Amino acid sequence: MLLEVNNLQTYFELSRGTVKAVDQVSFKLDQGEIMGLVGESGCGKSMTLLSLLRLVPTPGKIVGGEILFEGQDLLKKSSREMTKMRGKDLAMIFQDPMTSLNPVFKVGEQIRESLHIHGYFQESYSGGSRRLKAEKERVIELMEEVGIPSPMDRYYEYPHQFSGGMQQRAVIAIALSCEPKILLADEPTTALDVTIQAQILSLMEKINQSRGMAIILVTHDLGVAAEFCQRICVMYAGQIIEQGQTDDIIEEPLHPYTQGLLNSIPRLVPDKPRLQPIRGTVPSLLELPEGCNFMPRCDRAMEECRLPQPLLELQNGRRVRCVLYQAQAKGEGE
Amino acid sequence: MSQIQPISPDKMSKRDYYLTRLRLTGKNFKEFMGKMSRNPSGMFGLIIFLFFVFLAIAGPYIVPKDPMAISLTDRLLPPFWMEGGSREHLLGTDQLGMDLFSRIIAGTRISLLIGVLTVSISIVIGTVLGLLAGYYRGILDTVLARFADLLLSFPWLIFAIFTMAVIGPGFYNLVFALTFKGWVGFFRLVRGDVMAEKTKEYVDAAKALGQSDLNIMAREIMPNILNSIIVLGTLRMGFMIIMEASLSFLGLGIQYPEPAWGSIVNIGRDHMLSAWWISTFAGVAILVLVLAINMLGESLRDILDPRLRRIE
Amino acid sequence: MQLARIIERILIAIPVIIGIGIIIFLIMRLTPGDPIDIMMGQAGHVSEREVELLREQWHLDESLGVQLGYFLKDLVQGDMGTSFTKGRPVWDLIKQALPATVELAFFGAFFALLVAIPIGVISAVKQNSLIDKISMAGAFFGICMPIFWLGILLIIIFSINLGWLPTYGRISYDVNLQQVTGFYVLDSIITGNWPALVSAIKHLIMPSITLGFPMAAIVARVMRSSMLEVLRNDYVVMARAKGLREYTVIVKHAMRNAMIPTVTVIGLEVGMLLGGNMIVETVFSWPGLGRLVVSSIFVRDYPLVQGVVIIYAFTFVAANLIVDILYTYLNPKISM
Repeated sequence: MLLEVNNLQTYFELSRGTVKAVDQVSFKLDQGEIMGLVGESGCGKSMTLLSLLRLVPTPGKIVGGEILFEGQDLLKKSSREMTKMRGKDLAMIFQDPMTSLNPVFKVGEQIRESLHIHGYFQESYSGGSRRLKAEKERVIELMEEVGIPSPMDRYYEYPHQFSGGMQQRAVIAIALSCEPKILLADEPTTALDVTIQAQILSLMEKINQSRGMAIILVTHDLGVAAEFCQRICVMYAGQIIEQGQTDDIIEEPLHPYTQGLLNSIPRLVPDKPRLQPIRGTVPSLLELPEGCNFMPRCDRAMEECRLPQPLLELQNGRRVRCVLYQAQAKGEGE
Repeated sequence: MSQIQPISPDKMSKRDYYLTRLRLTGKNFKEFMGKMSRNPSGMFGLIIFLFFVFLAIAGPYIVPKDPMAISLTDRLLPPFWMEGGSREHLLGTDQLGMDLFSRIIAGTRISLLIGVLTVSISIVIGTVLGLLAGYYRGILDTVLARFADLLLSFPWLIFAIFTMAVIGPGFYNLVFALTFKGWVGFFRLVRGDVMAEKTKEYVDAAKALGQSDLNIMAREIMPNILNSIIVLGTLRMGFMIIMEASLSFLGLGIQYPEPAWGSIVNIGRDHMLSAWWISTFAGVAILVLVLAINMLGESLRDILDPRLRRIE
Repeated sequence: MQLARIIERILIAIPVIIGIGIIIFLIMRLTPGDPIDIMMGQAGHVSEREVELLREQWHLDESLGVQLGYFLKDLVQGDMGTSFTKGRPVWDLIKQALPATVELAFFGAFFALLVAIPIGVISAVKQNSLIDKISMAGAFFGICMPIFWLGILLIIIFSINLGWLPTYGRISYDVNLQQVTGFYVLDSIITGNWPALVSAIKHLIMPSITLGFPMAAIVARVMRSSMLEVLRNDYVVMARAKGLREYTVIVKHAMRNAMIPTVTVIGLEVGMLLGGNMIVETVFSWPGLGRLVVSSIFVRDYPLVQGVVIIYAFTFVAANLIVDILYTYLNPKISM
């Protein structure tokens, strides 16, 4: 197992109360696997990713759980060790490529910086200028790999001279530079045009296949996740409410929220006559109900939903946080 | 990253933005006072400021001594708690035996009057010209904007010193020298705001209803930029008071023996070795008044002008 | 490309300089009444010869337009007239006083930036901490503080009571310094004159702090708020996610961006520095331009006043030009 997250909790202590941005999140990720983390904005999926890197912004804090990366708990590492692992073992790409590149540095230099700080070519070329040359060559290879045309020239350009799609490719190049084992992708295509979205996704797929790099894809788009991921975790209000193989979830969604999400996707197939949106809006994380977080919006809510719901373990590695499936459950997931 | 962020004006719809601004302008005075009372530094500033206003008005009736009465037998007396001081002269006397405490109280009136006058005149000139230039644009706008830019490329104090050097010292000359450049800030603020407001729907609506330009400016646009003017005006007042004190200190503003704080500090400079209290206490008065005004101004900015609010 | 923009900025500065010249000219000449009468009335003891000198220098018999023409022509040729009181060309007097002023302004700005930028950065990084609150309270004081009073307070405390620092002048009388550039610190280093260096620096400390204090206050506040803005950006998180040390994230990635708005403000603050210069030189009897102009105001030496004010105004324009160019260098979005 490459990554195992158990009961991760990231809380924000605000003056108005505690926000449980990540609440009892558990999942596993295999070598070379692509996992989707799906949910509406504000459901805690981005915070989950930042928690994995231990980069939760203040006043957020990881208050519990463990993050086992190749068997070692990242939460127990010193901040120095953690710094060394970021970018090298776990890399991250962000939602908006326009803002994730530093506007005052040349794109090529930003890619090179990653190589440099993680000590690539350090031993082989002790001399500064030869090391620099080797690094530059590697950057240009990387830029080629992610599909940036004429990388020799573009190395010296600034982010604002790149289009959105090209910027995201550059960000991916930065992430790839140290050949991390896991790529954390936070809505990598949301800010891009539809055609560019497809290009970026297929680039990520290519990288996954050629390098065997595991990917956690955070997205609000169940359609994208279904196409791209082998497994999917659905998040709602800081919790994972359903987890399983992509095909299982798409064919037979269990949690009413997942069903709602699937029904909200516009389709071109004729068997669904119209969209069925989920009623109500995403609740404020400060005003969550006592029991199941989805209860106020759920059509099938009942008295039992007022109690806290455990994540039930079903067959085939499926898990769901809903009282409806208590009878089928093998046991409670951790 | 999905962080909780305050709604910034540009994210609100135009109508909502307009309504918020309008509401804060004064229709909901209670709401404003509520926010103000929850702002300790603003309240503190306001109270100190009102205290100085009281001193400025009541000054001549409450001073223990005539602030300009010379008494050569009481020269350079120290404050009452020091050896040689007496309760007769609480903060001591200057080199002509004038009572420092009374002079500082009397100086409040000069400082505040200069502050209020220069800012008010600057607001009137700047707002009228800014409204006209921003609303009609054209040649008037070009000329005024160029002239404003030119004045801006003069450092404040140098411009004021130069003007005072040419026209000579005195109260009204001071007001003139300070407003000569003072209106520019308000002009640019109002002009920019008018140009922005003019593109908004409510102005089109008012035009469609056949309202006159004057009406649109006074009734539709003005309420929406009043907040910014109040904020800038308050902050500018503190600045003007420092300018007046600086000019008086150099001997170019209000001149000795008139009790202006700046000139008291200047007199004290000649007696630093023997009578440190003269400069010190007059300076404390300037500092406290300007602190109070700026605390008030920055709180007003936080409350009234969401655009200027800093991320805290 | 950058060069083109620099040239463009210089070209824009030219009409500004001419405009400033015209405003100075108009204020001098349009004051109600005959300038000569005013001078005679106010100074009381202006001699016939001086009146004649001024009448000739300012071409007062011609029309206003012609006067302006002469004024601008003289200005372009670097002819600022002759001082009434000193009987020497204004430009000579300015040249003589300039190094003292430049040295003071340099150290004032140096002190201000040296203190303000780190404080702004630390306050932003440790937002709402004790150090942030103390620094920002200090900066708020700096904005409200009349600097002439600050100077006097420093003299009372550090010179009169503690006796640590000298109260006036640029250097002690008992130190001999061979002048090379006119900048005493530089001269004493060049000539290897260590006692002079110590004396010059001691004389510089209080005036520099006084002069730099308001600038430091404003720059610290701006630096803090622009750092706060920058720190919310994704590229800062990205820099951390790359595995950069926090120090590198702040100093390299965040500060470079936060400097962009700060530099603009520094340019505007040069104006405060120049104005403050007149006051500080008066307080500390610093033999520079500021004291020259203030003292010549009282003897109604108009050509000298006019000349020094022009120099100040031009310096401000030049400073903003430099800031503009620096801005171009810092912000790649503009340079292309």
